[in-house]
Amino acid sequence: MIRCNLMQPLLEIRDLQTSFFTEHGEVRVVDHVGLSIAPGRLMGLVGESGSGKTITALSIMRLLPERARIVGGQILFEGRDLRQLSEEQMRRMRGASIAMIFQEPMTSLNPVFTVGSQIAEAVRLHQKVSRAEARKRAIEMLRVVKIADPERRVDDYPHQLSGGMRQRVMIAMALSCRPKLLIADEPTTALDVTIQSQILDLIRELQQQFQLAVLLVTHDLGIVAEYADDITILYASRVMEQSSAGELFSNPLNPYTRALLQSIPGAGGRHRRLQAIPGTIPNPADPPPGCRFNPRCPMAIEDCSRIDPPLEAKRPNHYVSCIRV
Amino acid sequence: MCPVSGSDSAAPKVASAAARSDALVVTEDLRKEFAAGSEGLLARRKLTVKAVDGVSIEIARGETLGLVGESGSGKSTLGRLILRLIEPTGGRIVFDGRDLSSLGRARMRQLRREMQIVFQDPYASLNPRMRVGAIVGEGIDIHKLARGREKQDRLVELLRMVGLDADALTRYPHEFSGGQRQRIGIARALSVNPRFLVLDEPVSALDVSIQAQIINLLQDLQDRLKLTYLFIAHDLRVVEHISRRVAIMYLGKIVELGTSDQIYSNPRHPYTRALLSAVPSIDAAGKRERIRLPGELPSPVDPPAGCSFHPRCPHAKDVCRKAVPALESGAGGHAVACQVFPAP
Ligand SMILES: Nc1ncnc2c1ncn2[C@@H]1O[C@H](COP(=O)(O)OP(=O)(O)OP(=O)(O)O)[C@@H](O)[C@H]1O
Ligand SMILES: Nc1ncnc2c1ncn2[C@@H]1O[C@H](COP(=O)(O)OP(=O)(O)OP(=O)(O)O)[C@@H](O)[C@H]1O
Ligand code: SF4
Ligand SMILES: [Mg+2]
Ligand SMILES: [Mg+2]
Repeated sequence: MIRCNLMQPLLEIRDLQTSFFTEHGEVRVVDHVGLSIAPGRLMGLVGESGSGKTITALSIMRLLPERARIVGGQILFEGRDLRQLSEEQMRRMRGASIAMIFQEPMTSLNPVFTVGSQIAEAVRLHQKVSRAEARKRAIEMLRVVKIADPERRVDDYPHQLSGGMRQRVMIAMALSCRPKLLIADEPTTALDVTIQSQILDLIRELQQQFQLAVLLVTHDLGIVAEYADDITILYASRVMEQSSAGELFSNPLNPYTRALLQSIPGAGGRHRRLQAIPGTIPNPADPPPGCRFNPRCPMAIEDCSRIDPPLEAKRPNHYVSCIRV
Repeated sequence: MCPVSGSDSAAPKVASAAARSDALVVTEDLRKEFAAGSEGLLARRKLTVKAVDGVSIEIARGETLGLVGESGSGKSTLGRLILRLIEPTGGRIVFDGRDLSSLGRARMRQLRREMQIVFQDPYASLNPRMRVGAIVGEGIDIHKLARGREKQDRLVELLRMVGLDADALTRYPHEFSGGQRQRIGIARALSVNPRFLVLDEPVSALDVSIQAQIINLLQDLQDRLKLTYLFIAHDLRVVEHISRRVAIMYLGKIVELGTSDQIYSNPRHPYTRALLSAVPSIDAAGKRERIRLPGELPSPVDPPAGCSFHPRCPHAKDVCRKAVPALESGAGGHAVACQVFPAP
């Protein structure tokens, strides 16, 4: 795990394990995941679709779907284990200290209320202000996330907005709580790159000005390269590699990380076939023995399907789970 | 496939210049306005959002046209208009030589099979109470494409193509991750063997390796079956990779259109250049010279006079505040709507 020099981490996840309980028994989707984020830092959480990024984020928020449960580990926020908090304490935590931008805006925006009233409600959750004042703040927040014509848009219903506008409403709601920790699950997938970079710049400003700590879930390695201080690479519920962003891109060590870097379009000629990693991510109900990546790994040897590789420091502050490194 | 009886099956073939070419899809001056409340004490002035404002494009058979643009610029609306999922305020759409607005219901229903869409918001577009098997199989049933064992095999095959296990068939959408849901939407669209697909941000929630699989799949299908795509995306690298031609949209209008090469190697319109300069990348992290667009985003209800980009354009001159630039074609079909940087 990355040790934050000097600064106490704001969030430290230790050995987190989260499972779904289905008719077929327990399915582990977050398996011994650890990471820590200091105030003012941004951790990029990257990994294949279905690797457990969202469930990790929802575990921190304690907003897991039905049938999912944290079965082990600790989630320390300012030194307190969130798992030990009462439901009421946790709710206050979510209103004031930790905010999340969800992956799918429509699942968390209420279709029957205007977006303005939903942001205003978020504002009033943690600040005692009048309705009129909250509405003014809502308009201000819409402006901050670059929505044109905020005075008019504030009275729109979610279905009247484009995909990217809805996403920005979510961002506005999360930021209006002035959180210490922001968990952002693919927050800019529906935004064009100019607005995307404005939003990410804004988040960076908040990091620097207010020591906001950020857990950014994304599949865009370009974003991670530009905005993340540290990176965690997940594969099939497990951490494959963890280090600072600079170190990870100059010395990717885990074969999965390397394969990921090669799948990026633009790395070769136009219209060339993209280098997809052959095969698919294993079904979490039936993971392969040994290293989870071994059936698809170009470097796999026999031992890879026998030995569970531990996450070890292979270089200073650079942790890798692979017996071949 | 499914023969249609009745008289309206033979909609008149359109004989305009555009429709005579090899284009599968043609839009002519297509417009869509949405009501946006009213203004004034007595609410007498009705306000509208011009979501799509006079778009004329052609998509050739077997081609991929990439559509990129600012969030809220009307891309999804344009995609839905072309499939007639919403009715245009003006202009027309020609599909395979037929004017869609003149088609009767039965014929339109049959055409629906040939034109499919992968929606931008996967969760909102999958019925939460239906199992994945029923969602993906619905079109197969409606259009009577397969039954029983054959249908089952087809479903498994479709899921496999998008990288999902057969056991997904009996599960519900909420049991999947964001990217898995997006792939369910793709399998559903492919289930009825369409000829034309509107892909609205089809890979935005996918990590690069699965993105690569899906894009390779779409390209293979295109090669094999001569499919035609309108590919809407924010990821400019993905668009460059998959598209033969690319259109750039800003505030309801196409502001630049050209081959991938023209757009990416020789972008003309200042908005296109700002977009390209903002692509985050690993190689250029921290070194990139990003063109920042100053100022507020313009309101689509009350768009700026002249070139609607002028309040944010770093190159705007006096003329830009007055005249509306038309999309004009130059060398090699490279078209630009800008008065300072016309088509080459
Ligand atoms: N409600 C649910 N019931 C059962 N399984 C679920 C449920 N939600 C998620 N899963 C499974 O848990 C695993 C992890 O899902 P998660 O949503 O965390 O993935 P992710 O890394 O966020 O992927 P993506 O990038 O596609 O969003 C996946 O295999 C998924 O199928
Ligand atoms: N049903 C609707 N009612 C009112 N306005 C709408 C409706 N649908 C879209 N709009 C408006 O039309 C404009 C274009 O929206 P559209 O969804 O086409 O944008 P987009 O280019 O797809 O954006 P994004 O990239 O964010 O998805 C926006 O201003 C939006 O608010
Ligand atoms: S017409 Fe003028 S304002 Fe519009 S893009 Fe060109 S230079 Fe900029
Ligand atoms: Mg997710
Ligand atoms: Mg859209």
